[in-house]
Amino acid sequence: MERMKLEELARLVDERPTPEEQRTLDGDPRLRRELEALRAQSWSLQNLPALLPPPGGWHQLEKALSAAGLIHGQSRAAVWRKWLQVAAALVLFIGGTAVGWVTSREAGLQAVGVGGAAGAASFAQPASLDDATVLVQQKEWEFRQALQEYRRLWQTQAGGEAGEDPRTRLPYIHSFLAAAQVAAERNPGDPFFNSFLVKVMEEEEQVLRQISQDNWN
Amino acid sequence: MSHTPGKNPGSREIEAQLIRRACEGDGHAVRTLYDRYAPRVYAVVRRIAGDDDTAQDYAQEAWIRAIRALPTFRGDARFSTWLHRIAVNSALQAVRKEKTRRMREAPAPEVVPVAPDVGDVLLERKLEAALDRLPDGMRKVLILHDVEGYTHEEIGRTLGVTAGTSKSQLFKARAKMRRMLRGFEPSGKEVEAWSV
Repeated sequence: MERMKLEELARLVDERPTPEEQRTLDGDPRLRRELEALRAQSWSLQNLPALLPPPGGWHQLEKALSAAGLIHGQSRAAVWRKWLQVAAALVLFIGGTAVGWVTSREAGLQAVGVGGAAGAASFAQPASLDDATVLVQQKEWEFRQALQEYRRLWQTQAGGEAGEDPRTRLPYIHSFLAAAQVAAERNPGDPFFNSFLVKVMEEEEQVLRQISQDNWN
Repeated sequence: MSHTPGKNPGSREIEAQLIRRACEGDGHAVRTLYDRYAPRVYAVVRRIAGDDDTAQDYAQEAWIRAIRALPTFRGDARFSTWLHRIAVNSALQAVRKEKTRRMREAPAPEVVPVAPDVGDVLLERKLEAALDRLPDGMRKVLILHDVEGYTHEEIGRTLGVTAGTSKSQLFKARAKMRRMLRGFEPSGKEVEAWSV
């Protein structure tokens, strides 16, 4: 067997080669490199992150579930909680924008289009509480996407330096996790504690993945 | 030592309470479950669907099915696993339905989706773009096996094919992905198949 097709190599990603295949591999470094590349590809697929659903997804689903009689209408408490979520999201958004602005200034980059009069002018005026909620969710989603993108580009350009060592971050994340777990266990219905817990868990998973990726590389 | 929702006993108890309340139609409990699992559900249906618009419909359908079926959830498996199965089955069924509808309406050959501009983007984006360009059958098998960790037997049962078919589709899909990631000419002509 002098040649191996890519499909045959793809089988060897998770299956043992026959002695004949092994001999072919041993005798050809290009084949071995290609097999490694296929293995890396499968590993990367296995580690693809979850995808954020587009903003407004819950709003549409809620309508559909209500129409199907699968959930009850909103209680006063739910409306009040919604207001709190709106306020919290606004604080997060404004705080995040400020942090982003300061960080980009420190990095010597120009903070183009972040905050300021232009940003305020493009802010649509919601007509109702529901519209306001959707708008906040949308802005929060955009902010998170932008922050994620900024982080990636920053890591690419700065070569992953400047204090983002996952091993340094992990102990702090574990402290947050412990506090969030206690809070969520004592207040099981509290949306803030629950979503905070989930966010910290996601962050921890991402950091662990980053560490294992570093080890792997 | 990764934590996922519902993995430790405390979180499991919280989740069990949420599920009980969601069964009773408590919108807030359903919302909390949605917040926890929406990214995972969306990720799997998005990859099966191959585009954002369709994925939104599939995700909504999956959630409606899951909430409707919630009273049947007995807690034998983790809630995330149960929900994930529903999302996969729901999306696959929707794909089949859509294919049948398209075939009935227009028996012309299937339109090949326009290749997204992968350009100089990061690996994850390249992978997602390449996944979107795979033929339906290969994409399903590759997602279920390499992304979601199903066995060939499970894939066979889910897709109604033999484990052998699942394997051969997987190897073809991996090879096709590799070729796409190595280089893809805009004309649609793949770089020469690799063999030495």
